[in-house]
Amino acid sequence: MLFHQLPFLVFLGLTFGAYWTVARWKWPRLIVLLVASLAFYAAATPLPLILSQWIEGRLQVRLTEVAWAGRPLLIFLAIAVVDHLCVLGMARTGRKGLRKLLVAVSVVSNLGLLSLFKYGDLFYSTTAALLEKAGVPIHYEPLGLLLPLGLSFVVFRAISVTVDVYRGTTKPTFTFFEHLLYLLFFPLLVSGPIVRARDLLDRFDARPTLDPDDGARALFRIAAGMVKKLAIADVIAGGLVDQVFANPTHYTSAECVMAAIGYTVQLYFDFSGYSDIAIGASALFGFPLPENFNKPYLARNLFEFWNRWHISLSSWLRDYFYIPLGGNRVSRPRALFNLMMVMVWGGLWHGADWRFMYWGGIHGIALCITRIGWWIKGGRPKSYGFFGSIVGWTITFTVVVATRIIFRAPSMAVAQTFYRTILDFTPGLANVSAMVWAALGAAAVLHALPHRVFDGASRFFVWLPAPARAVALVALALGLRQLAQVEVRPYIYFQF
Amino acid sequence: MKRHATGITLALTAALAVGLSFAPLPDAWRPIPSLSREAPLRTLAKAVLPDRSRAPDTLAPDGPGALAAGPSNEGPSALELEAEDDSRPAPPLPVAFTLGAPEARNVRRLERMVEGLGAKHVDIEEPCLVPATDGSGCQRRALDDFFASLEALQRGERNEPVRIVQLGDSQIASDYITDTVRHRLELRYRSAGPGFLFVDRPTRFAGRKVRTGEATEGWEIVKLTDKKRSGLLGFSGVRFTATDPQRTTFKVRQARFADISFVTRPDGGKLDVTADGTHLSSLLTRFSDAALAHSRIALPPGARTLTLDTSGGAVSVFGVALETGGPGVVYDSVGLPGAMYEVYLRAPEATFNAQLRHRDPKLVVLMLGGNEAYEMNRGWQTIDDVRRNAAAFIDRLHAAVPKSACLMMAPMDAGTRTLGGDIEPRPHTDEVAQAIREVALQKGCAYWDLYTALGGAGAAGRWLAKGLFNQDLIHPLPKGAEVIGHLFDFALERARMSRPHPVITEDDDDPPGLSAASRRALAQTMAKLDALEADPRGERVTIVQLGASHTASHLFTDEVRAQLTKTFGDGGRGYIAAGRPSPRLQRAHVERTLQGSWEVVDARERPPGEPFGLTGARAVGQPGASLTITFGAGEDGGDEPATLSVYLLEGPEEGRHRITIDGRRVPDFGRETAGLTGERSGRSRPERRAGADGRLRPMRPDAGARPDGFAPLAPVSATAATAPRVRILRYPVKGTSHTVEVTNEGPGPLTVFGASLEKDEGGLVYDALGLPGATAALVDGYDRAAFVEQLRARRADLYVLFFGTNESADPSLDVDALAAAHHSLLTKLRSASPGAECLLIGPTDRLERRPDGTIAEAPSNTRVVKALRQIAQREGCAFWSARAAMGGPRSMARWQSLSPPLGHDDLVHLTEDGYEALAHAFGDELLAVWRDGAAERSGAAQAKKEGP
Repeated sequence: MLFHQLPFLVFLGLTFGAYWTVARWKWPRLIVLLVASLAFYAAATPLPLILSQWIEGRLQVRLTEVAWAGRPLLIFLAIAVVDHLCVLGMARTGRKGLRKLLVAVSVVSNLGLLSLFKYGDLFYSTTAALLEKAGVPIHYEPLGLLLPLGLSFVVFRAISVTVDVYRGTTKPTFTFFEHLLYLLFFPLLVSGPIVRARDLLDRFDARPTLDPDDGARALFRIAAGMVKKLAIADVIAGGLVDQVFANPTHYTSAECVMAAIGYTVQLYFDFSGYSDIAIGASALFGFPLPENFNKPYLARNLFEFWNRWHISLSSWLRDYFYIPLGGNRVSRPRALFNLMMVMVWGGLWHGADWRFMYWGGIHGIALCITRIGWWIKGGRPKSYGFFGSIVGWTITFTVVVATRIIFRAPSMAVAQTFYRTILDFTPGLANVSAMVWAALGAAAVLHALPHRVFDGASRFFVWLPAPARAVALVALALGLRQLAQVEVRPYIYFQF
Repeated sequence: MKRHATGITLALTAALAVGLSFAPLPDAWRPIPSLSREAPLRTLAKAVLPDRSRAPDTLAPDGPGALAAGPSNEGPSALELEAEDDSRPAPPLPVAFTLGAPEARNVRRLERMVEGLGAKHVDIEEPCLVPATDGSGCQRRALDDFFASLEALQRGERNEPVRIVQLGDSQIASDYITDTVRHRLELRYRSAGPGFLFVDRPTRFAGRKVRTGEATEGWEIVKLTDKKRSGLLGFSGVRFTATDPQRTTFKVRQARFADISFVTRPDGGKLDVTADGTHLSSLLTRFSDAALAHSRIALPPGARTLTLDTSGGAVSVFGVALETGGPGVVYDSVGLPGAMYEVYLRAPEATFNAQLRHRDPKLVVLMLGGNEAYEMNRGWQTIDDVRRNAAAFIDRLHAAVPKSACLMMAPMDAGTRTLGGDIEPRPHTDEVAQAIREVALQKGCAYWDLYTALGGAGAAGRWLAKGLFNQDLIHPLPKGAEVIGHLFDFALERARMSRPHPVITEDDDDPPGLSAASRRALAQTMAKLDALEADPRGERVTIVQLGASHTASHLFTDEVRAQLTKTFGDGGRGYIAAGRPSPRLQRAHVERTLQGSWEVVDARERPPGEPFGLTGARAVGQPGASLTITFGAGEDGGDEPATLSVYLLEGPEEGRHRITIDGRRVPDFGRETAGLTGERSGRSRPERRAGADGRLRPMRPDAGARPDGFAPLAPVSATAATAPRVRILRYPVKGTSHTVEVTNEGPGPLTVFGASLEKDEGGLVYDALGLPGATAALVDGYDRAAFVEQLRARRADLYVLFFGTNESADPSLDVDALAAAHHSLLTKLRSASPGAECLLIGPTDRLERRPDGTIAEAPSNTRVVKALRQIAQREGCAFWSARAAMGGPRSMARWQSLSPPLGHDDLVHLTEDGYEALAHAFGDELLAVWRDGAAERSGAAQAKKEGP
């Protein structure tokens, strides 16, 4: 069930109705959300197929088959059980050592699950290859473990709860049910944002309210997310990026460069579009969430970029990885090491392929160089000035685009071919259609426009009477359908 | 009101969207067009319960990712599971079928899939090239010459290969579709080698390696699909260039010649050619002009790999064609991801023509158009561009190979997903198909409408729902590609059969399968199988197969046993002869050892009349020697009641035997109870008595009386008190995994025939009693009493006789003697098991190599087949022709030429795969007879029960 497809909108509408019907009572409303979240996730498993075949009488359903089909949910359940036991343990003891042990159990079990399902094959195959090179061949067969959709995000959310309880920033007063709902809350389940307990879990107790203006803003946010995804990201992907990355040698150097820029734009509009819908959908249930992006491609240095890009992940890595390592309040070499570690492992978080680690590593090196430069100059520049901003932006954007090639290419070998093709310096942009140019242009304008323009549009939508909003939303849907009738793609971050 | 503004907005939005969707507006103005096309509830259900198919992968239409289509771990689709269900009747085959029985099973499965998919058989359209002189018809059609060359192959009149070159896009590059067609053509006309292979995968990083060598990574790859100037490229569309030493290695797969296509160049280096490490040739590619060149190199017999190594400069290679040099079909599949007619026109005409002319194909098949439709959808091409490019390409083709036939295929349907989650057919595919058809018929090429064959518009979505299409809605999965290959093969075969006098390999006098009379001859066995299926713990069914090397290899019988026991349950391994260790027994989890001094004698070495075990062999051990037979080695044999029997010879001169089972000595009171003669002994069934539940149970002695827990049942037989006599010691055991050891305690030698193990109740036992080189006459010559006595203990319900292959080699075969030997043997079998039915398997196809190297039919193969058919009829036995199942006369040559080969190099025996294929065909036939008659027998039984 993709956020930008009709099934999700119907599902969202039905859940919205059921939720607000019982919103005055805590447990009924939380039950509605948990059931909806379970159904939302189950839709991505073979469970609906089993259900439909069972209804049609074509299948005798065995409990083991159902359990196997729904095993990702069982994995999430196991995460919740272990973590909640750790939370309860920490709530009942003041002994520091025991609390530390409990939080360690939670972190290790969560990361262990992630390592097994996401990186098991990568580590295993790499070990086998290294042993073979060392003259100790071992028989390697892929483990074949399927990565449960959204596990990377669920694990990070899960760790944040137990660590926050350990640190005392979240009170361990929530029930197992609330803990489970926090992990599985459907607007955030598959690709985040990676919200903290304070943003969601701590709010389950309070009776939610939905101000009409907030509701309208949430709808506007969802509509904006749809536009970003369907009118920009998918148009660029289908019109240019996918073809060029599939066969870079078929295209000129200029087209390859445009494809790299196109992918950079596509990734932002795809993921920020998704985040808009997630934030809008969450707000419809009375849970406003913090922003996940802040015009990252306007950044003038890479630190700024990472403070604007996938903010919930960056801040998670900062709070739960970088700072525990010592952050930058350590010796300079150690601070650089910490930075590299965060970037390398943060890169690898994106997928079970060493190229993500290279990608993170390159960003890490670039960040280290930037920091060293600041140390030499005596500190971070307080202002850039017009020329400095242009230079900074150009360098930052170039690094981001150049490294996106590694991020997007199916393998390092393809990435190498891509870079080689660019370095051929062949001219010609015949394969960049007018539609793609238009989408890129629109993307640039939307990205460059100040927030107040977006806020103004949002206020105008809020100001409209309900029938006019309905007309506007249907008109928008019709327009998007014309644009997106060629192909509908899943969100890029679903694969992570 | 304001409090509920958000809810009202949502409700109004939904109402407006639904209302507009039902309004009489163009689809573009309807938010959910499917609402008005389908029942609203259905649409709503679809919206809430999402599509069964997963979200699409982010694949480019025809990129390298496309080649990886078809994950290896994909499970069987629902359609496949339905198609695997053999109990469903197979649709009638549309053409006379000439593939042999093993492939027939596959065809039946694919036909059911075709039906389930809504696909259909579509005939090839052939324009008339030369009208009849009287103007009333056509003298020569587009594919006449091609089919004539195939039929010449069929008749053995053509000694060169018939080459087919298939060009296409990623659908062909993956070789899934062409693999099926190639396999079928090779089955009919035999293989003349794998054909043209690339140095490496054109995309290097993706796709299958089935049509390429295993190359080092330093080859530079230039393709026609690259938009930059490509330089010298031929019809194969790819040039591989090594500027520093590089290597590529090909699997030779029975080829005897390698034809290397390379490019000369002023800076050309050296290309060393080796086979299995032996240097064959060095090609110097340096020449003043860049030009296409070829070098044909003979490969040493038995070569497994061919390696090309470059050195001393730049070396550019197109690829290597591997061929046997003999008659057969070579099917080149040359696919380029992203290819279009326009792409092939980019190749320099001279090089294109020269390379294609060198291949000298009899048919060029073109499967293009999918990428053209994609580009039209993007506005990058018009239908006029497509038509113009296709026509220009065919002109070039005719200029290059004027004698070659051409066949153009329509592109297949592709799909796109809409916002509503619907799958819509991608526009323009039908237009492109129509344009290609026009060009084909206008330019004298045959046309096959693949688009319609797959089910027309919307096929991609339907195939996806059935699990046969990739999520990209463009490429079929391997299983779907197999269906497409099947459809094309049938289209070709139907076109061939539509000629006035097609060659049909099937022998009219030797039809495949079991005839109605044969089916009647198996009625009792089928009824027993019915009972066994209804009650898995009911009466056991035993099938005893006697024969020569086909039986002795155990490969055939192991497969048939495995197939039948899947339906009727495993009754145990049955009889195993005493003898030396044999790897052939491992598949059936049986191990055999001999310790000490043993001599194994078989009936071929001795005069007639001597006693042998059921396989025509006996093991004679000196004092102190022992032999063991382990049943169910490494298996959990369960704990159901079973009987382990030891077959040996007893007499005054024979040594005393000591028997242990699983290391524990078991009592032998057979000696004390000896004296029963063979004629009066021997329950052909274990004695039964009613248990508490009223069911009959085998009678067993009081095991508690013996501290070791083993107690032999009453001895079955003995022949005379003083003369050597067969003794069969029977021990009740639990389960079917046991080791029996027989030791000679002296003073004389001890003769052991074998041992058997089977459950007391339920299951099917299939004995393999084969002696290499045996004939029916030889088996008939064993000592009658010993032979019958042992056979009686086997309690056969059905005898299967698989002789005739050895008799086929006898140029002066006496058919009457053959009939007499079978009659005599069958009489003995029937006396051992009155009421047992019989089935004769005719010999496999047997060929011989003449001194001049040509291959001819074994002198009496056809006579033996016919004679055995008549003998079966006369004796009231069923008859199944192994040769017909293989595909008729000379089918051995085709089986031998396949990859992997099904026929052995000796042209007499089959390979492991071959025996497996033949056994599947036989097992399928038996199961089909059983299934077909089940309803009838059930009805008859019911009527009998109810009375008049």
